[in-house]
Amino acid sequence: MEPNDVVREIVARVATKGIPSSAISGEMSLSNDLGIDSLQFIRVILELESKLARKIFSVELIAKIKTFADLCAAVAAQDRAYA
Amino acid sequence: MILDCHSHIASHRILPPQFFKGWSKTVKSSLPFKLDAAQEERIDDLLYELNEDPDCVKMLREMNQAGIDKTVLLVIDFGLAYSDLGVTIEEIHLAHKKLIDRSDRFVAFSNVDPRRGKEGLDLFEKAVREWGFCGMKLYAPCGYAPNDKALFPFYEICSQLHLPVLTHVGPTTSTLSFRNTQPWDVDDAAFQFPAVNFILGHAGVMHYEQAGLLAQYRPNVYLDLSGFQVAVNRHEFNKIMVWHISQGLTKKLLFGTDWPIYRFWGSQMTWVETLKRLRQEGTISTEDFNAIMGDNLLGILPAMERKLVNYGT
Repeated sequence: MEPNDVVREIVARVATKGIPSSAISGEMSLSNDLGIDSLQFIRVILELESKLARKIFSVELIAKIKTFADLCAAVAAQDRAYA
Repeated sequence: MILDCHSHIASHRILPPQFFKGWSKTVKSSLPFKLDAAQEERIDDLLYELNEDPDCVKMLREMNQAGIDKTVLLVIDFGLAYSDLGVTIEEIHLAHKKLIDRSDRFVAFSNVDPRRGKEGLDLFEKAVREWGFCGMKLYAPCGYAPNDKALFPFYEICSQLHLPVLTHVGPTTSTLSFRNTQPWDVDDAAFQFPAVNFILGHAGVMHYEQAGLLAQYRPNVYLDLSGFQVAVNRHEFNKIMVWHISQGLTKKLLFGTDWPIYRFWGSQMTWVETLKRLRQEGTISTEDFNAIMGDNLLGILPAMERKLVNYGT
């Protein structure tokens, strides 16, 4: 499974607005469009790091993530840093 | 002008591990899902990471991005509430003094636990008369009440020097008591010292109806909005602001961020933008926006000398 697929799968599972995984697009806001509140966002972070078996997020990075694309980019940037 | 009335130096010497330990437990217990041991540890790591900016360089960077002109750094004297801090209250004051001496972007409020007696009062007096501190902070969860008579000599000095007092309202870390943190716990002091302006920390959003009543009837009571980030996350902030406006309280509200506590949920710019959005949506007028973001605080701070402006840039 590619990292972006992992992100999509976890976001779709945690999202409360019933949007299917395939319908999640980059510009969607995690909060407003997908219904992931601040507490559920912690769940996304923890599950992503568990699934990908590495630390990905810093406090400053977390504060900047607003959309699905931001989240995918954060994971990809960390992948590049450790490639 | 944008002024942040409520921030702290993010440092484990200033906000000690005992404070974060309790806060971490509260955060973990409030999560609506089960954590395994590794995830619990990861939350601890992230919360500790919030507290790593001892020279306020990250804070200044975010202030610049957000357009925050000046920030009030609040000392908290945890020395009698927690043991083994490894730092004295005088050293904590000197860490704040170093920052206010370097930059006019910071001002600082002193806090000395009133149970320290005359020695504590002397330190407070030195901080406000000689070191440039321009207000007093109270942190009742450490084990004293804002109306404690032991604080009256401090209030006398505040009255004489026109210094505001910012006192914490509401629950906090689980390793401290929540007693004496209701808005009305401040009323005796506000009544006895009408020339001292009391800012109720977080009370713009915490116990805000009680606090609002006090602020309506006591000319010297103001409400700090810091902690509004929680209300934003719960989609309650607009409703609270509409309530304040309906009660005519916009001249009593002060913008505050409580840096570093809410860094996890957004940058300083995120929080300024949240207030700007209220103005753009027409929830608050431009005049009220300017009042809340800085003019109200400016009106109750003593006049201050300008200092160097380039620190951290």
